[in-house]
Formats: sequence, structure tokens, C-alpha cells
Amino acid sequence: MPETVSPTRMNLLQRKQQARIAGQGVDLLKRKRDALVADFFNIVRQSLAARERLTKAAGEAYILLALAKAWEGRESLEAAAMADRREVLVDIEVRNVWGTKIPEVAMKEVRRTLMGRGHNPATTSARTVESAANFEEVVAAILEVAATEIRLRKIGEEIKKTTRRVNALEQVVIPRLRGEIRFITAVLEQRAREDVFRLKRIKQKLEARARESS
Amino acid sequence: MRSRLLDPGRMEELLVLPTLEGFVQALNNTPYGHDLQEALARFPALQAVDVALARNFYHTTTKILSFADGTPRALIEVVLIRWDLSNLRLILRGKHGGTAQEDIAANLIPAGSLNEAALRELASQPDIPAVVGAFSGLEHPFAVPLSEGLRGYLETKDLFALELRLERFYAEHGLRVARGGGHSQQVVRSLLQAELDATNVKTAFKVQRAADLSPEAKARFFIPGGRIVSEDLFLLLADRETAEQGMKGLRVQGFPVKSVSDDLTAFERDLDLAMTRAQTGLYLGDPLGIDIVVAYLALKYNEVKNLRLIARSKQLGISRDRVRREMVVV
Repeated sequence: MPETVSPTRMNLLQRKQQARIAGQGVDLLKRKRDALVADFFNIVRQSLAARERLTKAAGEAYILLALAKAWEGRESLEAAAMADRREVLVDIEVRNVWGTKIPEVAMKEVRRTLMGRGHNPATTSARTVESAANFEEVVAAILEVAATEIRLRKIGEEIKKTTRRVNALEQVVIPRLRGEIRFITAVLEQRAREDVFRLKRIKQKLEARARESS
Repeated sequence: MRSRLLDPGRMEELLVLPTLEGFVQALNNTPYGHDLQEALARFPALQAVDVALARNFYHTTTKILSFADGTPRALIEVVLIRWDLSNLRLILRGKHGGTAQEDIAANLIPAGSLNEAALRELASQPDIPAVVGAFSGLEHPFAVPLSEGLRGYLETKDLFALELRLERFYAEHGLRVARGGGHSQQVVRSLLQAELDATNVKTAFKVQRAADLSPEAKARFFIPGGRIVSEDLFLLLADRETAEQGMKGLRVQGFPVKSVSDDLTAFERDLDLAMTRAQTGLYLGDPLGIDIVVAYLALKYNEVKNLRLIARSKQLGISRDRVRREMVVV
């Protein structure tokens, strides 16, 4: 590859400039990666806690739902569920961490009151109400897990991308530039030596011609 | 017919089975076997158990109705049309919330006077006015309150109002049919009044926790007709500050559950247990009256609930001790 570069002084200066910028880029990318890794581990802790909350909430909610279905009958639970359906809305804001756009998912309150759920207190049992409240906890836990895992995935991808860039710079671009610099330097030095040799030969010939004529 | 109910020993055998498959196999060797075989051909195990238990209960109620005519039949129908009320509520809520027809139909249980075809026809209607229209053609007691409540529903889209109208009508209708002085009428009247009291007390404690409701808004959930709980007592119970005074009033009048904790589910379970025990106790009453029928239906439905509980415990791995705590053994 270095052989394809034309060994000129201009190219040598350009390559040296590029190598210096690449070195600075590596330094900058490593600092970015360190900041992202710190953020990543912080979110990993949050994510593990959110997962734990979800597992706990879901375990209890499913048992309560099973008990409610057994006691009230599937039809009664289904009727309660049909009373008032809704969409769960979330706000997504984009935060900038070292040039990386990371989505921050903010949940609105998903827990509702008895009347807010559209449950008629005269026809809905406490078990059904408790079961609905438990599943609202599960929805809140799922949203929390989703919010942390989206950030985790995004930061993880960015860390991978940054690491690839650092590796590419350190192991491909910078060695190539150094190789080109070495090649151009070697060619230029060789040319300089040839020039010196040629000039010496001319000088010797001129001196020999001068000696013959005198 | 009582001999076909599962005894506590058989129930315990089913409870200790390790898997749902084992439970289904064992249930095949009980009076539910025939319905279970049919259901297993169409549904996965747990749903098949639910469907089989519901069908078996439906066959039981149909058989009981076929034994009777005249006043006894009318009284038994009063006990059974609460299933129609439950199915109608499901259809109305489904139509109100835009649920698919198949999802509504899959959850209907034809244990009352409306058979499966009638319920499917109602579920297939596109909206609530169409359901009310189709219902009018069935000559069912609920057709009148439904038609009367439709105008209000169309103006306000307030489903609670329509549901509460039906609940009040059921109470009035039941008490009207059971208004005579005969023994069977007295039994059904007492049963209905006890159920209304229990429902009103449960409702009062639930609306007590809804801080945003005014006393007038709470009062709309009261269903008149009970023996113990008047509207004033209901409002006392529905207010956190006066609830203890209301409980004293209940205790004085012999309400089956004497205290209420913060755990409403446990309170309702205790109340349901007391109600079930009171109903099954009627088995020792007049052998020629409606007592036997009421007690048998309570025992049968309790058995269905216990079997549903065991089936779910097998699927979710709920501990046996917890299932034993939840089961009602009468």
C-alpha cells in the first residue's frame, strides 16, 4: 500500500498532519468510550433493579390474577377488563452524551383509581380490583425496564461503534499513515543520497576535467 | 345429586397431584369427565377445565330447572338469572369498550335462563342499542330495565347507570317473585336480602377508598332491598370517618363478618365464606322446599371454584398451603 503513495514532501507533510489528527481522534474517542462505559454501568444497575421489580411484581400479579379468575370466574374478570380500555402514553426526550443521542423515556402515571378504571364498585370484587392494581404495577415496571433497556442498548451500540473506530484508527489508519510516512521519508532520503552522490560525481568530473585542461 | 359432588378427600387427592396434566387426567374420572373430554378436543388444558366446569354447572342448573314448575320454578329462576345478569354485563361492557364479538362470546357462561344460542346472538350485535333491541325479543325480565336505561345511556354514555339499573331491577324482581309467605319464598327472600346486604357492604368499603367521590356519588352505588343495610348505613360505611360507627350498626344487626381490616380482599373472602356456609347450611332445612336446591347450587358452585383454583395452582406452581388457605371447604 505505501508504494502507491507518491513520495513527495507535500504528501509527507499531509501524512504527518493526518497521523497527528488520528492520534488526537483516538484520544478523544477513548475518552468518549470511558464516559459511555461509566454511564452504561450506571444504567446496568438501574436496569437490574427494574428487572427485579418487574419479576417480583409479575410473579405476585399472576398469582393474584389466577386466584381472582378461580374465584370470580374468567367471565367476570374479562368483563372488568372490557370496562375501560386505554393507551399507555410515554414521553420520550433525547439526551446528548458525547454526541450520542440517547432516548430518555418518561412514564406518565399508569396507576388508576377504581373509578378511573371504569370498574363499577357494586359489581367488581376486591380481588379483581387488587388484581388490576397489581397489573398496573407490572405495566409501570415494564415501562421502567423498557426505558432503562432502550438506553442500555443505545449506549452499548455506541460503545461498540466507538471501540470499532478506536481499533480502526489504532490498528489500521495510524499504522498505515506511519508506514506511508516511513516510505516517503525513506524515498526522499534515498533521493537526497542519490542527489548528493550525483553532485559529488559531477563535482569529481568537473574537477577531473579542470585538472586535464590545466 | 349431592352424591355426585366431590368429597374433601377426593379434593385433597386432586390438590396433591404434581402437574396440570395429572389433574386433568384425574378430573376425567369424576362427574366432570364427559364435559372435560369434549372441551379438551377444542381448548388447551386450563381453558378446557374452565369450559368443562362451566358446562357441567350449566347442565346441572338445566336439570334442576327441569324438575320444577310453577312457583318453585319461578323461585329457582330468580336464583339462576343472576348468571344472565353476569352475562349481560359482560356483553354490555364488551360493546361499550368495542371488544371483538369472539372475545365476548368466548367468555359467556350459559348457566341462567339464556341459552348459548341466545347469548351468542346478543354478543353478535354491533352495539348496545342493537343488544337492547335483540334482548327485547327474548321476553326476559331484564328487557324492561334495559330498554328504560337505553335512552340515558345514549345521552350520557354512562355504563355504570345502565349496570346499576339492572342490578336494582334484579333485586326488585327477585324480592317481588319471593314476596309470599310460603317457606320457599322466605328462603329465597332471605337469600336475596343477605346477598344485597353483602354486596352493599362490599361496595361501601370500596367506594370508601375512592377519595374523590362525594356522598351523593357514593349513594348511587347503593342497591336497595337488603335486610340490614339501609342507605344511611351504607353512607356511614362509605365514609372513612364514620365507618366504625357503621360497623357497630352491622354487628348489632347480626351481620356475619364482625370487623374489617385494611385488606379488603380478605374481608370479602370472609364474607363470601360466611355466605356460602349459610347457603350450604340450608341442606339441613326442609327436604321438600327450595332449601335443598339453593344449598346444592351453592355447594356445586363452590366445588367449581375450588377446582378452578386447583387447576390454576398446577399451572402457575402456587404452593399447596396457599391453595388450601384460598379454598372454601364447607
